[in-house]
Amino acid sequence: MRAIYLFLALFFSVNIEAKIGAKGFFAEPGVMSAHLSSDGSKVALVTNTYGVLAIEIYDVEQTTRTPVFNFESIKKNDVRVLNATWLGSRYLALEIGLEVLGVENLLDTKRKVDYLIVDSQASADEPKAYGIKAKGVIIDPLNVDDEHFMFAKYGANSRIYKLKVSKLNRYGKKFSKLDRPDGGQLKKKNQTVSVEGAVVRWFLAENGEVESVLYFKRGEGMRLAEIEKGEVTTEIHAWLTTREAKDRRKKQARKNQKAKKRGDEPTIDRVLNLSDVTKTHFVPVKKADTTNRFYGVNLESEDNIQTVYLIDYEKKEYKPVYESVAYRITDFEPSEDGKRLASVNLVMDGEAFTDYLDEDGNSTLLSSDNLRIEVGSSVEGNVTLDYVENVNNPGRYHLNKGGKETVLASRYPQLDKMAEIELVKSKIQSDDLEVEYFLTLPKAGDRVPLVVMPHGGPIGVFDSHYFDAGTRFLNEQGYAVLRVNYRGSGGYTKDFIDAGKKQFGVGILKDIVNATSDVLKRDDIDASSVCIAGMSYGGYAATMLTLQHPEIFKCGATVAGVSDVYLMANNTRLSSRQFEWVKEHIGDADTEKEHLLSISPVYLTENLSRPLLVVHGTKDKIVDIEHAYRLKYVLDKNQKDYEWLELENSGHQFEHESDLIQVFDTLATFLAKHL
Amino acid sequence: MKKFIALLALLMALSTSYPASAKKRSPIKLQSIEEAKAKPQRIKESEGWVLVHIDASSPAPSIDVQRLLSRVEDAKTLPSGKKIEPCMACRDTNISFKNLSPGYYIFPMRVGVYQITNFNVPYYGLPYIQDTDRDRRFRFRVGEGAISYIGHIELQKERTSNSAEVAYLDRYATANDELKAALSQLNFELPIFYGYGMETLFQMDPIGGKE
Repeated sequence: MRAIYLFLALFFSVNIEAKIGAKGFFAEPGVMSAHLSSDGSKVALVTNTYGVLAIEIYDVEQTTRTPVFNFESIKKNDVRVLNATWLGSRYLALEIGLEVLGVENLLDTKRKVDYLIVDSQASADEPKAYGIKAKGVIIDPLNVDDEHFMFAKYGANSRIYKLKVSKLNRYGKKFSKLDRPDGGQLKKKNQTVSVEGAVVRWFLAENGEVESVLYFKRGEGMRLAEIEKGEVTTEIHAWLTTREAKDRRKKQARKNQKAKKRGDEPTIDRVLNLSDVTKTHFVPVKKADTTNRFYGVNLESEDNIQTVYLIDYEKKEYKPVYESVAYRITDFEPSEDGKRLASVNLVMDGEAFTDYLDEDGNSTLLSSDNLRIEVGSSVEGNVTLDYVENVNNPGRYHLNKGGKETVLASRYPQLDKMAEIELVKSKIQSDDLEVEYFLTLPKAGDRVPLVVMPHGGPIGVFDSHYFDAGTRFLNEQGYAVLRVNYRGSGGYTKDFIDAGKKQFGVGILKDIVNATSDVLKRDDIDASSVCIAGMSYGGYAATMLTLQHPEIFKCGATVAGVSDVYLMANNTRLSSRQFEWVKEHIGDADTEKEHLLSISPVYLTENLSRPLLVVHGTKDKIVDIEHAYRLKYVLDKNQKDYEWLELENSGHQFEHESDLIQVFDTLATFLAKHL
Repeated sequence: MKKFIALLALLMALSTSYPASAKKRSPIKLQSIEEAKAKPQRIKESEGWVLVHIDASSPAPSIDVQRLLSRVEDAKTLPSGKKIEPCMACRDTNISFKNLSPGYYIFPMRVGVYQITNFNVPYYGLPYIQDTDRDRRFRFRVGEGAISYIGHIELQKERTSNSAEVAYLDRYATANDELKAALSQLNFELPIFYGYGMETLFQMDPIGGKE
């Protein structure tokens, strides 16, 4: 009998490969980030085990991984590692975000950013970590010095100090009367630079010395100035409002009139001469190639597009070098010589990524099959750390030493064994536009059912062909997945984005149908088993196309989707600028009401002949829950076949891991029922 | 002398007349459904009931409203994007939500079309005011002989930043079951009138009224 059981157990273990479920795809990464020390001897890994963060040190020579710090030891709520920098090769400085609970109610809760400096030579049992009490920023880690770093203290007057790590106070330790904040190191002896004003940003030369500074000069507004021998010397630019400039001009004219009467030479207002009042809000963020040239932003941009400019304060020239319509630009990096922009960090609804630019300043996001980013390099350049991601790789850190490459860590270890899939990149002609699509095929099946997944947005957002958890989850369940970068998508040209204007319920849907029709010609796709599912705009497209093309789509799933475009165009959460943007890109609720109603699923459901899955979070602030309830009402009224999932306290992106897992589990069950 | 008396009378009239935009402290008393069930307020002939869902959390949240028109049917004629002069003798009214727990509230208001002109969300050092007097998205209608559901108002202090979150949302479909429940508690024998915005486009089955 035991032999039969053993045989059965062996039979099933060999023949049934367990599919990875939603839990595997939507869990937080096991390795959050990796950081190479400047001498290339160590890599710090920020790990995450069921929500508990820790630091492990990988020794490049010994190839060993040692835990040195566990965040449970600092007993703080909801800690997040925002950034990490090696201070030489011993100490790792972590910028951590903390939730500080208020006294009476949660309304007082605030997020606080702290520095936590971890000693990599300590052990997890006896961790050693230091804190910095003074408010400021580490501006130079002094890579060749293991003990010291440069710290810029914020304040009405700003100073830079050279601090010794071992003299700092231990993190979280209560102060006694004998303890001095930061080991009493913030004193003149350790001071290297002093600016009489509140510094907003320090600009460093390649050798680490402060070259220029952006600061508020007391009573005179913002200034950009050069620094020499630790002090402000030449002013590069001054910011004056139109009114301030007018007042200064009047004052200057009066002064010069008096001088003229006296027979003196007229004087020139230096600050007035420096400023450029017509373009007063171009602010420098990163240093470019010369003293007067910077990469920066326009704080008073009138349109919805976020732009990085190359600013020449001497010539008073402002040239756009990077634009983003839908994604928020959070940071950017110039190339080493400062002559071009090398990368831009973008974020939208919590999703963050980096766009690397080629020599001509073009985005490389959609150009290569393999995403490879150098995240660290030793000073000598003999050791590098790369982040690699592609359709079959959810993200791994690769260490290169002496021409030999090894995989150091996987961001999602639980996905290491997921089945490989095939990626097909193709283009179709839709009207006069070339539209790209990505088809991912599970390798196992001959003819597989298809799920079409239009992305959200719709304007400026795009799908990339690298790893996408939602797509790969559906592939793992045995479906081919089609994603279309329809007109209006970002990542291509500005003209292509503009082509999406007022095509919300028209041209964009046409592109999705055309791409689907192209894919259905393939022998490996079962054209009789096609469903469409999407989030946000993708949910809208899924509902509309299920309505309009029952001959193609056997079912549809709308997750946080728009169902009433007129209601969306009147959303009171939109600022006046966003409201104007919606008028221009989607439609004007005053003058185009009939059109907006004609492309709204809630006024068209009588024609629905295929089952629909409706999923929405009650705390969705982008597409209000009312959209789902209106759809539910008309589906009930017209006695249509539908399934409903309402997630309490979930937002537009289903931020809680458990919610996202529930959404995709429900979607998988729904698809299995209808395909 | 006659001239002097006339001038004096004019001066006195001018000094006592009310400017159209002058603010009047709220005489409006909001009642929860339970309070209205136990002891409903008296309603005048020219007034209708207003039903609103409120979720406000700051020390003294309130809105300012202005009556633009006396006839609900004329709402569609109002232009958008510019400030509308209030109707004759109409004054700004401040409706305070101080110390109100989240839920439905009912109160009488004169029949007509209203503009929410300001959202006030003071929070210690943050005197947040959102000016909405030119924006037609912030209008509602109060119908005659009905309970006008005017939507959901959210006035929240943001947890993590020095800003306030303000929303005025049409939740007629989402709140449909709750509205039926509220109406059954009230025993007013009046139908619910969909008063959010300037016109009703999304049609739903009527709620309430005499059988």
